[in-house]
Amino acid sequence: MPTVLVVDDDPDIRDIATMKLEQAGLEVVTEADGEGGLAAALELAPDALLLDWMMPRLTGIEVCSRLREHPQTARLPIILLTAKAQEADIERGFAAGATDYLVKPFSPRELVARITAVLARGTK
Amino acid sequence: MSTNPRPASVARARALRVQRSSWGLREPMGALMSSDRIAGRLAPFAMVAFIAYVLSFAFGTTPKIAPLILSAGLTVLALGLPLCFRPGPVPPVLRLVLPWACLVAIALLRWSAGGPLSGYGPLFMLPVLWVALYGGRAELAAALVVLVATLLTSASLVGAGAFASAELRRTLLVVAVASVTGISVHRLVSDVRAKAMALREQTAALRDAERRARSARDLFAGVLRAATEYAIIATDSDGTITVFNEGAERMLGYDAGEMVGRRGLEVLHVTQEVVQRAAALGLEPSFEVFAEAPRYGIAETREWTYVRRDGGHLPVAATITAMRNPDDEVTGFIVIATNITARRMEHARTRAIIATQAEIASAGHERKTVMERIAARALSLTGAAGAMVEVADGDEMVCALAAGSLASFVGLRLDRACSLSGLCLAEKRILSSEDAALDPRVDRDSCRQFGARSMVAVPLRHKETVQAVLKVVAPLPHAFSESNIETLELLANLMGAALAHAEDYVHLAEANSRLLELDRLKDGFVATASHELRTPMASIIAYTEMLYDGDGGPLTPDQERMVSAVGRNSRRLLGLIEDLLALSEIESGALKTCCAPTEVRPLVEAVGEALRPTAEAASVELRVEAGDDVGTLLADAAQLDRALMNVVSNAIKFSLPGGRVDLRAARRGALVEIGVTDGGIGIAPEDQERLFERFFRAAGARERAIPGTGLGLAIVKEIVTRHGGEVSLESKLGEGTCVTLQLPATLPDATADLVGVAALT
Repeated sequence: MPTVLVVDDDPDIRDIATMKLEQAGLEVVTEADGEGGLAAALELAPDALLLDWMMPRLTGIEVCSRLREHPQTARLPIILLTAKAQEADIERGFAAGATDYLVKPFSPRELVARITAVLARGTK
Repeated sequence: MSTNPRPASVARARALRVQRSSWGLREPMGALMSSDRIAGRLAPFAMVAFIAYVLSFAFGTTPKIAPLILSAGLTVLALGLPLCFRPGPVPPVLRLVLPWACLVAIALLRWSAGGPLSGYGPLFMLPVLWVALYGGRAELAAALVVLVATLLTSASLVGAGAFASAELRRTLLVVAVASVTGISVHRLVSDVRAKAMALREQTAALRDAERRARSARDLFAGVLRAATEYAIIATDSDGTITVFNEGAERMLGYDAGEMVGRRGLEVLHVTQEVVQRAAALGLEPSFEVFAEAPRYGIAETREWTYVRRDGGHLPVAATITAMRNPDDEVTGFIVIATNITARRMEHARTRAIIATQAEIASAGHERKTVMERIAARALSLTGAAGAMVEVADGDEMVCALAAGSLASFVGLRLDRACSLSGLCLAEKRILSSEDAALDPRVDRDSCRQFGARSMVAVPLRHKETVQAVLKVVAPLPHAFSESNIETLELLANLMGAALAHAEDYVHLAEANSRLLELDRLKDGFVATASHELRTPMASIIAYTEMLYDGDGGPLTPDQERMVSAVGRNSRRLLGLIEDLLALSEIESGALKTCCAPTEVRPLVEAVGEALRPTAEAASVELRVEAGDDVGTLLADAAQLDRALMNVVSNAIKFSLPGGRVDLRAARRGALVEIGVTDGGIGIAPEDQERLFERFFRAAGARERAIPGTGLGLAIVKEIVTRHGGEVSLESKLGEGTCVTLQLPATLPDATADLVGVAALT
């Protein structure tokens, strides 16, 4: 069963993601900040990572670029989840190594669809 | 003569008196004597008759009684009448009665004495002479006739005896002698009289002229004396001084005695000025420098510097005019000079005040600088030794600033009650102490300490209140004139105004920095709000969707309706937040306008693609038309995209199902025109003007409950304006609306950089 790591400082978002992804038959692990997220990603080697941008201690962008530096996470599908909706921000996100991008507020259905999509791509 | 009217004789009599007193002239002007003296003049002739009467007794041989008695009567008449005449008018005709009475009396005596033998013949001459002297020509003729008659009468009465021929000869001789003598005397007297008359008239005219000349002289001398504030100096035609009045003596310190006839006008002038003026006129420096203009009839007024006897200089305004004789030859010049020191000082003061004003204006907004400059001016303009600005603080006046001799007293505190400044502050008017040593209002010890004998305190008015006082001091009493005080008042007003400005400026600067801070906060707000508002919205919207999807268990129809409403309104709220943030981002410039040449056609087509699902959902046909020649725009593609999205989604929103929306882009000269036309509900004319205002929603939109924030078109307008373009709108209620965006196209030949600069500026 594929594992998805959800890193967000907002417990609601963690709850929403967990509910929807578990409903879709995925295993979900959550972390509440960047540092924890980075450690968990390296330790657990999840199949996908849903990563919030604006977080205390370590931002999603930093987590993203650091993970890309490690060989075991270099190809990890990372979906950046953020309230930053401008084109320039989206470009920055991709530049840091994000696989996909989801703007808050988001539709939970779309979240599941995107995660499922990157997992499918990854397994191919 | 006897018929002359009275007034003439009175005038003559008056003239005679004057003549006598002045020249001591006496007879034979008897004919002209006044009537009150006539009686005296008649007496000798009465005496002649009397003597003849007496002689007729002494030498008479055969006296006849009848003529003697008649003669005696006439003699009494001749003697008595003059005695009867008192001073007063005498009828002119009476003047001849006595001589004639004498003649008749003598004739009667002659007759009574024996006619030819009598020796009275020569006596006949006297009355005739009298008439010749005092009578007119007609009277003389009458007297001669009477003489002939009396002689012939006496002869005829005596009878022509043996001596008849001798008697006749003698009678004729007497008549002839009397006639010749009478006529000669009369002519002589008439002649003398006419000459005297002419002389008298001439004299009268002369005296009249003399009187007039004297009064003119007196007037002139009076004017010269009275003009104490004017130097009046006359010169002859060569420039030698001929008149130097008291005003000139006072003004210049010379005595008239040492100037008149001795010195020329040049001695009063500064040589350098004369040389300069001469050069300007093209003359040699000489008296002609002053004389040239007046010689041509110009009354020239110029400002000169006169040199006083003590060497001091005096600014004057001198008017020079030429004096001319009746032949229009210049006989001299008159200079009238006034002291213009006061006028010069007034000008200097005005200039200084204006200079101070300029200085204050350039002094910036430092209270201290303003006060320092004005205090310095107060010193230089009034000759004060020291100046200070004092400010009220409780019961004391504190010296906030000081200059000159008072410079070391900054911070000094004085009791308000015994300081002139304190009183000035309380009374809000200028106070002057002419001698502090005698002034009970001030603390004499402090004044001695300051070296202040004279003091003036002027209130510094500041927005209708007085909070400070400008004070100047001098070590001598009575040091400040009215004009000094006036100057101080002007300076104080200036300072008050300048301080008010300075205060306003400080307030404005504070307000400005607050605004800048607010602006900065707002920018920060936009950035954080974007994140902070989206985050909770994300949870709300996500949970709502999950509820609606039944992730929280199945919903009853009512619950489903409610959750759907929450979802709809959450989206709406999110739209509002996004629009607001976008607008404030665009406005504050936080959004980097990354202008780049942007192809219009792909942009328009992308918008069409993006909104096609929306159009289909609303059953509206969306048509996109963009020619190949539309070209490029210098634009921030993301912003322009947002603007177009807003316009097109509006058009779809307001179209009726089955309607059509056209999105057309075309090149119009130097402009790219993008038009969005719909066949929708249209906009009422009264709403069209306000449509680009924030939060304005047309009546149609509100009535039909078409969702919207009222910010869409405001954002469009802001974006288009920032791209140097214009938005216009045409609409008809019930027929549809056409929104047109006109934007400057990129010129094919221009380099992107140049255009970029042009578009951004």
